[in-house]
Amino acid sequence: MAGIVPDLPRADHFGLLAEYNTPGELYRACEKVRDAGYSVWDAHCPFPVHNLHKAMGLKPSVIPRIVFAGAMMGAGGGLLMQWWMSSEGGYPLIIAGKPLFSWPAFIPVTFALGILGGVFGSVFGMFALNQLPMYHHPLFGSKRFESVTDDKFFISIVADDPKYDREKTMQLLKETESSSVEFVENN
Amino acid sequence: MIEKNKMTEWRSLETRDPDAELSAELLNEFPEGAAEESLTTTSRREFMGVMGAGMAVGAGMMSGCVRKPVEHIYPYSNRPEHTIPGRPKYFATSIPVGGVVSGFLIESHDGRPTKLEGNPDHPTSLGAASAQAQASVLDLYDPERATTPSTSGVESTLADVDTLLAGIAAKAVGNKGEGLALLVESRPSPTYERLLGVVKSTYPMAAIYRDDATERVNARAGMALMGLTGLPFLHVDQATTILAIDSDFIGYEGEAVVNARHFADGRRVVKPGDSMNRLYVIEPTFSITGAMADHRQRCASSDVGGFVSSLVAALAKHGVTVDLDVAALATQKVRDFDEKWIADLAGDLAGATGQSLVVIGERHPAVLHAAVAVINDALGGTGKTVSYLAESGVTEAGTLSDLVSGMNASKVDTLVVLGGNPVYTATGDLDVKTAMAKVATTIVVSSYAKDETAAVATWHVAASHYLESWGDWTASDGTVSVQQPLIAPIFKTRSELEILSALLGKSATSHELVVETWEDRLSGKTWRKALHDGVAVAAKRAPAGTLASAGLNKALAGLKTPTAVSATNLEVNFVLDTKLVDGRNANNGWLQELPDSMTKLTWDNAALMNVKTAGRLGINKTPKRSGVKTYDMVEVSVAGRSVKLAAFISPGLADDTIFLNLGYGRTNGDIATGAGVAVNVLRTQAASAFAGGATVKTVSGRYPLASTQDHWFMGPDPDESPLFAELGERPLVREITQDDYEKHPDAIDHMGVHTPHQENLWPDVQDYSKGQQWGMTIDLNSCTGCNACAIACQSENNISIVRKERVLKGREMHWIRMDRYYRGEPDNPTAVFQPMACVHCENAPCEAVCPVGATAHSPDGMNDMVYNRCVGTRYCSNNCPYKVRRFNYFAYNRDETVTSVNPFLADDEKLSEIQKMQKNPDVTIRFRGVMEKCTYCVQRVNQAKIEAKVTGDGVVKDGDIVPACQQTCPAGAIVFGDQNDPTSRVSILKKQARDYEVLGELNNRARTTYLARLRNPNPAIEKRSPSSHGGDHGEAVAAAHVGDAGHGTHAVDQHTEEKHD
Amino acid sequence: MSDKPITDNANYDPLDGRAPLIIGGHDFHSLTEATSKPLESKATTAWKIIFSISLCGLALYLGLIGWLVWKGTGVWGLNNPVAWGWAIINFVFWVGIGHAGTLISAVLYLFRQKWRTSINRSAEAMTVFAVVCALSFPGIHVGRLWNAYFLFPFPNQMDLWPNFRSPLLWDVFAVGIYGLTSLLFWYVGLIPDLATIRDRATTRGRQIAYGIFSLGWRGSFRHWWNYEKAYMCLAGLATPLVLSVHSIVSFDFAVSNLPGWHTTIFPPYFVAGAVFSGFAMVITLMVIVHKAFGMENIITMRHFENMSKIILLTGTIVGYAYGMEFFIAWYSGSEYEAFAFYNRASGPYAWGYWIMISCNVLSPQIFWFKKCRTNLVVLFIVSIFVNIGMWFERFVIVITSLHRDFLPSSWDYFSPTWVDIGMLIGSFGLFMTLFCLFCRYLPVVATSEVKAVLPQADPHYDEKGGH
Repeated sequence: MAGIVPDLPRADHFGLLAEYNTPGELYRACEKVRDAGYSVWDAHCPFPVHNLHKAMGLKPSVIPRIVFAGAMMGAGGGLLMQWWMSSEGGYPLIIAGKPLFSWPAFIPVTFALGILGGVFGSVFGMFALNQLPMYHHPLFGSKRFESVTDDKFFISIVADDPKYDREKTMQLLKETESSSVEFVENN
Repeated sequence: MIEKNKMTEWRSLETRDPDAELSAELLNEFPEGAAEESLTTTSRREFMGVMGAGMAVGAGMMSGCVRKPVEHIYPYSNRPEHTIPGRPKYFATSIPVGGVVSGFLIESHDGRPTKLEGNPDHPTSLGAASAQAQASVLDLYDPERATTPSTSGVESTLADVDTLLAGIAAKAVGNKGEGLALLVESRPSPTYERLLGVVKSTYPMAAIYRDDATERVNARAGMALMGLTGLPFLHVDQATTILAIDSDFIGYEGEAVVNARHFADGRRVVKPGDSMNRLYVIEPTFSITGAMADHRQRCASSDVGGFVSSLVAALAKHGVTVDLDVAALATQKVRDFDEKWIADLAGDLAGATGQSLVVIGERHPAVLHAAVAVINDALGGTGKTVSYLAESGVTEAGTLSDLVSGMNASKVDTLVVLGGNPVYTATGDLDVKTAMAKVATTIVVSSYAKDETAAVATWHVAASHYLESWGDWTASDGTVSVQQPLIAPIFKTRSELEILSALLGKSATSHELVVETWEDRLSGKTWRKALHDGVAVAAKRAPAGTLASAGLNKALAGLKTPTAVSATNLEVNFVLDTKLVDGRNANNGWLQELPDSMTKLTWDNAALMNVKTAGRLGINKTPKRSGVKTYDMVEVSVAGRSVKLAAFISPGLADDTIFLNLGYGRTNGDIATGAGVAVNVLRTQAASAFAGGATVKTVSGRYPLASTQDHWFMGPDPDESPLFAELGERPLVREITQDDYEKHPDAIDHMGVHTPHQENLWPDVQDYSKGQQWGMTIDLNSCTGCNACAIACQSENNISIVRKERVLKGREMHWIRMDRYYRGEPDNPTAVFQPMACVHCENAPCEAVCPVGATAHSPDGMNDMVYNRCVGTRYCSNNCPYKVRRFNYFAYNRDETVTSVNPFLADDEKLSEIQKMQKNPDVTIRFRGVMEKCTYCVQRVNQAKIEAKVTGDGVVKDGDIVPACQQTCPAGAIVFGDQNDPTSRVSILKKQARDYEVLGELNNRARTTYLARLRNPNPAIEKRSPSSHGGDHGEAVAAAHVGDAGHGTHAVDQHTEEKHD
Repeated sequence: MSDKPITDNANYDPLDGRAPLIIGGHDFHSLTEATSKPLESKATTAWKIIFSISLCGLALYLGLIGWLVWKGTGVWGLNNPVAWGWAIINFVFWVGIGHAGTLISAVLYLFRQKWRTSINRSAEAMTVFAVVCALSFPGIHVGRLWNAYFLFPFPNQMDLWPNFRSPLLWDVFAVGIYGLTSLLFWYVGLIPDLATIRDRATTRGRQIAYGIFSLGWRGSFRHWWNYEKAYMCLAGLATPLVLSVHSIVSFDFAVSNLPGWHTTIFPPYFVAGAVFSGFAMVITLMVIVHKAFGMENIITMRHFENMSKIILLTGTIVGYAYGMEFFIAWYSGSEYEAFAFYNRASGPYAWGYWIMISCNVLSPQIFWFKKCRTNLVVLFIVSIFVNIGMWFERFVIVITSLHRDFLPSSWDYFSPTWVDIGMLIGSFGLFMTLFCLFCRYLPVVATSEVKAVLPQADPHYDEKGGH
């Protein structure tokens, strides 16, 4: 669960939220927070800012592996299904003098089901990793935060972070090019 | 079939005598008509009850008018003897079809006669039956049949009819029958003639008239000229050289069914060296006999006399002196013929003395029939290839015109029309309708209250179907058989015999009347045997005596010289329709929708003419397409009278002749109405078969004609696009002369598209070399294209008709399709036929593409359809190279009670209770949205297999499985059987070099293969003018073998190229 | 970058090389405004008119389907040789249309073609709707559609399963999965923009509606991080899929043994044709959309020019395919094959063939000229021509091959009925209805993606001394 914002903060409040106007400001701020050694924090932006994962020090995503697994299961399961249904599982019909397991004819469906497995893997894998849907979140309490989907950029540091200290962290954020830093309640 | 082999034995009323009191009590207990009431109710159960009654009667074969009460008969309290529920029984009967008496076996399911097949024991059937004969079963279940008597449109009862007839009888006894007139049809029946005789003797003043389009008037008159009372009877099996002069003797004329069998037997080539007969044809039309000809010439009907005179002259050159007034006959010759051709023909005929046969069509005048008889005599044919059999007891009768003048002179006060429909069939110069109006009482006995004559009659008596009544018939060779019913009259009907006897003042049932005729000769065992075998008296007719041409020469002297047919003097020919005859079959849906053998027209007649004539008249060669094909309209006028109808180009007709089929434009029912145009108005008593001096002009308007095959050639039509020119004929029907076949037996193979050795992508999964594997061969050398198989298939497999508007769209449902291709000059082509049904490919393309596996293969090699699995993607049809699959675009078999809730459905999509009775319970009724096709009659195959398991080692004997098409094929062209059994007929035939697979290059491995057609041309004629026929295949192959790939079809060139590679 | 906004990027050739994708001096917020306006302002009369016409079309479609079910497949012009008609033609036609969307999104995404961002959203929407139309046809074309579920492998007491050797069954899977994939791909792309609308929403109803579908998206970069990977994987999966789907559709024909169908060139030829028709439809719609919603600066002439280049390319590819078919037909030496094609060009349906050639091969050739590539009127007309031509391509393939095959005895002619025609029109009604709703209730431009391609989106933009 590393790198995921825990949904049940144990602290009495959620944490701090700093606002920035440009991707550049956000980028540099993230580097500062990363270097300060925080772990339970996040950046928020209306679009994926280029290379921000470097600034935040994120590990590569595991999505590709899930997709691969899904694709393999889809294809394998698909081929198995076709074999079973045309021989063991059903009437052994004599069709156009072709064998019960006419594998070349089974390729298209196998392929399509493989794709389907991969697609499910990527979409639902992403939802799972991101814990979406999540209709309630403390950050939604902040009025400023509404513009995160428009033109503003934010950093949120969660109170559960071991290095979190209300004053120090506030100080750290102020030192960045933040246009404002606010205190987010648990609500 | 198994059932038939041990046919249920007939049990007559006599054998039921022990139950006499039972039947008596039934008579009282069961009021007349109760059954009909139950018919009209919607309760299915009651209905089945009535069928139960029919079953009991049918099975018990009690006499016509007894019906058992519904509630007491269903279910069986004690089973009628020999009845296994669900198993069909076969009974022998006999009936004239199209004027020809033949013997039949009727398949009966639980008392419902469902199918007619030929009686193998009957000499004029030999097990085969024509399309018309088989379709006659449908008439029994025609929902538009008259169900009760009626007087001037008002429903009446049989009791009233009896009183009416009794009254007439009483009056007639008083005045010796003065003013009483009977109009009858040609009825070669001992009982019928006996009763007519009694009428004549009891009522000497009564007048009897006969009018029947199928009566062989000209032939009989011709014999009379030769001093004979009788008719010629052909022995085609004895003839090696045959000349047919406008005679469709193996198609639809006379004993065509047996003639076709004998003709085919005369040219069956199984091994090299087998001999073939040779057929010359000269005709104005293009008959299927003409299509079978080795040499064919065209001439107008009025030129036939001239041709005969040329023939006589040519025969004289070969030392055959024909004893007739040559000079007088020569006056008939008004144009030149291909004299060389006639000379070669004459040589051929003369060379085969005693084995040659000349046949002339009934539509030609008596004098020519006589002349042909003399020619046959000179060729030594008399008694060998043709014999003249005496007719006995044909009651003297006047003609229709006599009757009309009689009625107009008010000599008739009571007219009884027994069958026939004179108001419609009469020639244009006889106004039967107004004449009948002058008659006080007119009684018409017919099946349709709406038919043209019944409509103007004061009384209409609904006639019983032949499957509901008794009778007896004398075939043209003298064989007498009994017509026995299979079901009690379903409606309030009377048979003609019953009417006749009622006219004589005693009400007897048809059964009593027939028994009365035969009791002195047949009784007890012999009677039962006669009924069981379907042959009562096998005695041949006595010869009619010797020919004397004195009368002939007098007639010849009196001949007028015809004016030569030309663009300015068109000749109109009136021909009996190959399906509707003179219109008697007009309300039979099977026949209306059956494509004509040559034109492929359904539901219509048209003005047929060849390309040249059409061109002169300014008629478009190709139809216009506005959704459906529409054709130019023409007005055909003869002597002031005219009809308007569509013009249809039919290759191979004589120049400047127009052909009009009789029998259309009737109004007696929903099926008949709107189908074609009545042309009788153009005929006169003088010129009822053909008339010169006709004029044809195009008129405004277009008419849709439903032709199921509009493409003439066996490949792309070069006239259609220059690009098609380089593409040759396709090797579908392969034809070769016998000589070439003898020289190069492998030629047939080489005609096919040459492909490298064909491999499957897959190893063969199904081992078809084991067990019984079904296969079929169709011998194109025998097939005459008579369409009998199509109707056999239709009645066996419950195939629905779809009506004209859907045939126009190309949605006909026939499982077996009679493909017809023309070859050579559009105006003087030859034609070939190819019956095409599902060929049951081992690597069936249809199976691979069905997404739900609704069509799959059986281990014995049949391509099966699973109707209830089919969702109707129609992909199988697209992928079928033979396009033999048929799709139910609508619900053609929808239950009347269901459709009644759907206001949008056309009436013809409803299936009434009475129609359901005809359906074969062994075959599924297909619903809308499913695909169907030939199943090799899988129901018969499986029944045989079960039978074999029950009675033996489970191996079906060769010949125990006979599909409907094979069963009825007059020519014996279709053979079905186990192709793994080297001794079975089918595998012996498949071993021949002329056995080939259509589209074999697709590696479908079809189970149905075709035997190439062989021709046996006269070398002399062939040398002079290498035929335009498919013969050139053979020549080309012959050429190819000596290294010259110059001539011949593309396929052959291709082969030779391959060879040279 | 100069201060004064650039208004034409089709002919823009600055010293620093690349022309900007978005013009008119947009920043993040103005973009948000521009793309959200159509959803938040009242419906324009133009929209209302188009929408009501579309609804009539849809009503016609549904009505005719009812008629079809009531009466039977016979209400179409089908007959014995021609057992497949307009239903299949329309199916292939719509599936073809349905290709550009995913192609633009996925393939261009993988090739880092940033210009896609302005059009991919509506192209994807078009894909989804086209596939909906496409799938409706095989659904209703079967004779007993109450049994159409037989096509799916569902357990049953009779152990009956579908026949996986049949191309039609491949279709069921391929097209079905393609539809599902396109839908998910489209939806995943929508999530951030739905969040934007949610956050701008003023009414409770909109907040809830968009809130539900945006799944509580809060722009977390940790989310973006998985999201981008997932989106790339989707693109990576959709690309082979989009190529396979039309190949498989072409198998319906290529796998059969019918002359004119049985051709190995079909898969590539069909895919090219699909892209061709797809882009044509995109142009048709984009011309309308970007005029109707005043997005000239977001969907720019440069986008149109790029698309017209693709049309020119793919149009020429199908032209090549037509020629090659003919050559092979002649070269194969198979009379049946040769006839099938001679018959197309000179038989009873030659008119259809030549409509196809002139619309698909000739009309795009004018795109060799930049003037035409950058002229909206020309673009619009040609795109319509191409749509017509591609419909006729399917007509030619299906009808002319079927109506005359091996046995001349079974040759016949196919004429459509009013139901055939009505259903084609009706399917456009269905398509347009869905598209109108899309324009009204969803962001027609992938706002977040467009923001990402703005120059100021680069984190080092201000270091370069922007301001």
